[in-house]
Amino acid sequence: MSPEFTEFHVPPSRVIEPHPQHADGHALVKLTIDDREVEAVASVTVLQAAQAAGIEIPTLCSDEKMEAMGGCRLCVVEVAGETRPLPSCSLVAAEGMVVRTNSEALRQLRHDTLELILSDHNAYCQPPCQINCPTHIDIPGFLEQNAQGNWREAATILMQVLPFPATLGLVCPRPCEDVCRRKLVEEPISICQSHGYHGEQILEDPPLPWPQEAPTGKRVAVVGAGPAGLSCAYYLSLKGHKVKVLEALPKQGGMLRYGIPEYRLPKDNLDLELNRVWALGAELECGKSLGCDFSLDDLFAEGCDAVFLGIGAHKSNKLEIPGEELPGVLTAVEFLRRVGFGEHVEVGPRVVVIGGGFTAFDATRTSLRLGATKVDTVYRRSRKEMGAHWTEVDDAEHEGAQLHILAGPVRILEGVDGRVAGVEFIRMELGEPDARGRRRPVPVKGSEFTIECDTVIAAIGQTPDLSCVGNEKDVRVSNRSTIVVDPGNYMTDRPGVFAGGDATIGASTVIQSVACGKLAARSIDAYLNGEDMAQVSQRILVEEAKPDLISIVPYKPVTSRMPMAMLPYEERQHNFACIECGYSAEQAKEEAARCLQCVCPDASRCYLQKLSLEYGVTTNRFHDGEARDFHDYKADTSHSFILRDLNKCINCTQCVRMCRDVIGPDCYGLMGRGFDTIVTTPFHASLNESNCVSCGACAETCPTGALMLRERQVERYDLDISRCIFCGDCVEVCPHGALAESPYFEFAGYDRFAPMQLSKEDLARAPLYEKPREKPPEMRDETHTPVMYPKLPRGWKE
Amino acid sequence: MSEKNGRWSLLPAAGNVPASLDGQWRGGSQTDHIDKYLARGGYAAAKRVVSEQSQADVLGLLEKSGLRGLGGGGFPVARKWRAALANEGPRYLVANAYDADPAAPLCRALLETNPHALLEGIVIAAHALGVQEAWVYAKAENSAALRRLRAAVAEAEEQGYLGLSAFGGKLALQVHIFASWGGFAGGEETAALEAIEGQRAMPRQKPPFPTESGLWGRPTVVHSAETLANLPHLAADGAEAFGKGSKLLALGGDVAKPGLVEVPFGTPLRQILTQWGGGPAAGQSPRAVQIGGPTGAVLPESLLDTPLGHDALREVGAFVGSGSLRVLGEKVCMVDFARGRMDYLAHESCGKCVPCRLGTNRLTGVLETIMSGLGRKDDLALLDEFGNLLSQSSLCGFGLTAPTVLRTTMTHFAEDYRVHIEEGRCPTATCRALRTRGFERKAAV
Ligand SMILES: Cc1cc2nc3c(=O)[nH]c(=O)nc-3n(C[C@H](O)[C@H](O)[C@H](O)COP(=O)(O)OP(=O)(O)OC[C@H]3O[C@@H](n4cnc5c(N)ncnc54)[C@H](O)[C@@H]3O)c2cc1C
Ligand SMILES: Cc1cc2nc3c(=O)[nH]c(=O)nc-3n(C[C@H](O)[C@H](O)[C@H](O)COP(=O)(O)O)c2cc1C
Ligand code: SF4
Ligand code: SF4
Ligand code: SF4
Ligand code: FES
Repeated sequence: MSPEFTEFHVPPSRVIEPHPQHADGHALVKLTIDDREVEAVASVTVLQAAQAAGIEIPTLCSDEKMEAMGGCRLCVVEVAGETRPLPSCSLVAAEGMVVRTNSEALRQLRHDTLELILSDHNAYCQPPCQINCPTHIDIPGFLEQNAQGNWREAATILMQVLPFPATLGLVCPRPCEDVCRRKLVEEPISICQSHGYHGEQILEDPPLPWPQEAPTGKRVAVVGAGPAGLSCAYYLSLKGHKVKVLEALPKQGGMLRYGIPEYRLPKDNLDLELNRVWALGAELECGKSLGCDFSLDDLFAEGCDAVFLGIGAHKSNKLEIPGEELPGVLTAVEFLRRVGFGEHVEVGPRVVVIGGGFTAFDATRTSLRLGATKVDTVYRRSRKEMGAHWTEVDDAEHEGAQLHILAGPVRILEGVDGRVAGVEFIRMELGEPDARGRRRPVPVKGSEFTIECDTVIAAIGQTPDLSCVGNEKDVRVSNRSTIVVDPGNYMTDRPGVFAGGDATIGASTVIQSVACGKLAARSIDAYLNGEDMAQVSQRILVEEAKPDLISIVPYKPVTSRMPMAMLPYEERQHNFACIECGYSAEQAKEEAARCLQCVCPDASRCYLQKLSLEYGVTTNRFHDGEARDFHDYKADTSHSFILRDLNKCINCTQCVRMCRDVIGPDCYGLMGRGFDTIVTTPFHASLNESNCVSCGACAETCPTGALMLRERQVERYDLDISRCIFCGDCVEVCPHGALAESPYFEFAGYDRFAPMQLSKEDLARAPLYEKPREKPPEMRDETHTPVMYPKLPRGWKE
Repeated sequence: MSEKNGRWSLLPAAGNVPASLDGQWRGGSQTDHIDKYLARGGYAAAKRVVSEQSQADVLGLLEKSGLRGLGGGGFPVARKWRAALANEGPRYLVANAYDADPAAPLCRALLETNPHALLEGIVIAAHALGVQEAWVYAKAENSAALRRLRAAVAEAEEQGYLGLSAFGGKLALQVHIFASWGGFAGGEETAALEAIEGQRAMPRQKPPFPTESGLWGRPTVVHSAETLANLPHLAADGAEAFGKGSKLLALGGDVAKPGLVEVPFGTPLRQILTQWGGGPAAGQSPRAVQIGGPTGAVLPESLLDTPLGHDALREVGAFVGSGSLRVLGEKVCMVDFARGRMDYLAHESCGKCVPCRLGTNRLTGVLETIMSGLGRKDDLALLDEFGNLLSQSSLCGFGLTAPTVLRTTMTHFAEDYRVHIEEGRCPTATCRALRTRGFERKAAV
């Protein structure tokens, strides 16, 4: 080239000036990040400079081992002099640069980017159903077993937190289904009836959630044989403690027996289910009432080490209106209890029921069954505020009850015979919400009306009857007339005395009572082991804390909920036959298969989840689109231990770069274009068809659960440990591909979260893997049975 | 300008070139063979530059003329070259003849009818930049253009204008041809570099700019083939005669004479439409024009007096872009138009960065909702918010400009959106329902 050109070869900006030197000889630059002066080695990125200075910038697609790609756009930062934010992962730190890593605008950009990712992320971190279930049943877990017809396995999962799945299957108000994610597709899974089904399959021969522990010699008294008391007794017995249950009424069950009527919950099956408490060695003594027959001091004097009070809420609230004491006015609890005792109770022919909870509708429908010809159920708020499950309200109407909403009783009218003749009501409007968020009813002036009747049943709530603990010192009672306990460890102010269920929360639900019983058992066990109860309380509160969830848009083809066969309305008249007919095995399986399996084994380690929580992506604005708005990929589990679920892939290409640039085989790439772009193998082929060397580095670097490692089996080789350097050459050179063909061979034991898992010694000492007896499977063979592989982690399907 | 239309015209002079003919130009090929090109004075400018001029001379000329890139962005050519020259060689040159916008096959026409203008421009640039290897990057589907280009390179090599000892040994320059397919995003300069390196044609994050780290990490100058094809004219006649230069445009839509035309910079858009386009198509009066291709701005009738020029267009929120100028007649509903463009982009995004890959699709969905009469008032805010995300946070020019149609229609034709959303009807009665329901906002359960 001609000499004139040289003037450009060393341009003025490139004239070498003395640079400040780092200790090990690298040039340094000074820049300002978030108002802090930061020194960095020239040629590092702004991201690296910030990280080195302890300033955190969110990233989803960068890894220091690989060249930046700039796809996730989360690491964007504001740089003085630039018109728009730039990704710090590919921006080289320069002298004098002024960088801001956090601002309202950046937060918004990152939030919206994450929201977009989650709008096409067809998987879910944690099961909302399980979180919302008071006792946290592993719902996706048991549904997975149900889907395969493994009723006993399903029941075992359930019994870890709920000893009475069949009963709850009939009476639970299903808080889990309210939040089921499947609802975002079409209808929630029928979780409740699903555990009802397998609960029935194991009624006679229930499995234990885990083996009963050896007797500890400790004794616990449980007062009240309702769901709270019996759950507590069940789990304490499993722990090896000796439990005695003391019950005032003649039979076990509490409100399950003396409240909930037969047509909803057949008592024979109830007893079968409750008896599993006694099968564990606990004892029941009926007709023994705390406060009359014994006191807490008596129990301790008899040698009890702890006491649990599960005495429920049996005192009916008063209407507080004139005429309440007239003959013909009943409370629902008293009415249902007498029916439960088997008494013939005269009602009607015209009945007015006042209230909107379980009790009101049970009283309504029981009256109808007892022969009342006209039943009016009156509630002062709207349908939405009713405590009873909507199915019960619907059923009551279909069975013949007349529902009146937004009306409150003013007084009860007396007839000429001195008995009830009717009730005067006044119309209500909904006003401001109260502390619980329910809107308060406000009377509308001059809107009074009367309903004539022969019987009035008041069902406006119950409170615990605490006269029995009135004389007990250190058992405090709140102004809501409930027993005061520590919210974490369920202990009253008196050490060793615990309480739970309706007695501590006021009239609630069976499942909440079971949850109290279960947690109290856990806490009592800790108490009996002499643990510090303040710490126990802390621990349980942390375990029970509701995790934050992010809003991910689900997409699955619509499959409607399996309807439950119900007794036809005309066959329900004047009898107490159970109205639910139950699922068939096939139906239960089919329904369970609808579960989206909202469990990702990567949850709580996943960077996408972490950042989405940090940026508060708790709502998503792209729900309910058309099918073409979302992707639904099939997971690839064909490789022996690298599992791929494209539904969770965020196209960060870390695996692509890791495999291509660091390891070498180049198995992955971005395929497709536009909205359909996805990181996968060419032609979506199995990894077995690629050059994969089974190193697992892709899964190690994947920031989400898209690439995961299966549990690995180690096969034993005769090798000289002192000389093996784990080079893997034997795999490469074996002329028959014997080692490469084996799905179990491995020479690396790293994963993203744990250091080296296998030492050479482990490898040599590992048990011989039992080869399947049939013809050995060939990796490339279509008929190759995946049964050979170790179990898949949660949420993955073969 | 008359000269330009004769000797220096890039395309055949016989009227508008139809955009849809494969190699068979109706006017007959004008300069496609090197003999014809030489007869018109071709390669003389290159010869003079190579043998007589220094780098500084060429840069001085470029600076004086103020020539700006014709690939869409209008970046000053001299500044780009200086940036490349500031970095140690070897340097590379890429002629972007990709024609990402299928509606504006400008470079295809150039390659088919006048390939030597491009090659001569490459020679001039290579000389000034100290480049020994250059690539012409074109769409694989333009087979006639590629055939013609290959023949032209062979002709030029044979006659000593290209090759390891061109111009009597004064220049060593190899020109490679790279045929690629990477959709609309494949036309972006760094996507071209990726493709040439053998990777999937996906844009890279800038900075670093190609002039600093381009092909295989070396300083690389990427120009539109059209920019380079203008260099011989500039070098031969000097900055004054060259003037503001001209731009190839593809006229389309509701215009009487659609096709490719060459228009001097500074001509008002209205004049372009009447003088070159023959006015609106029969029975139409234009509601608006879209300039710049799928990501280009929609300008209302009232802005048609804007002159063709990088800065003038920028002032009204537009850019030259792909060089397509499309007339939108009375029957065009702007919501539907924006939806159609956005849908195209949602399919064409390279898929590398999140805002563009997913954002274009979600914006399409919201526009479809509005079109289908299911729009809500807060949809406009949603469009704004995610439009902003794209234009702030995307990786390359594709995503950054993707919301332009949306934004300009929302500004200039807010009424179209309002009527759809508030009155539930289409102002031009042309929209049909594309969705049965719109997106919903839902909290985590
Ligand atoms: C009519 C009715 C219908 C209901 N329907 C449903 C439903 O469908 N789904 C649902 O989830 N929930 C329902 N509930 C609520 C549910 O039954 C209760 O929340 C649950 O039973 C409370 O459990 P518990 O163990 O705390 O108390 P309980 O079930 O009330 O048991 C307390 C036990 O303690 C005994 N006891 C009380 N005092 C003493 C004493 N001093 N000494 C010894 N023993 C004593 C009682 O006799 C009773 O057996 C209903 C409630 C009623 C009243
Ligand atoms: C999505 C996208 C597509 C592009 N397509 C082309 C193209 O087809 N031809 C072209 O010359 N420039 C195209 N560009 C512009 C190039 O990135 C680049 O700016 C141009 O080639 C530089 O040339 P110039 O300096 O001559 O203008 C495109 C840009 C984007 C963002
Ligand atoms: S889909 Fe399954 S795991 Fe998810 S919330 Fe519903 S029941 Fe639970
Ligand atoms: S599979 Fe690959 S591209 Fe997808 S999220 Fe994991 S590492 Fe990223
Ligand atoms: S903006 Fe992002 S996804 Fe879109 S073309 Fe550019 S790099 Fe690809
Ligand atoms: S864009 Fe920088 S980490 Fe993803």
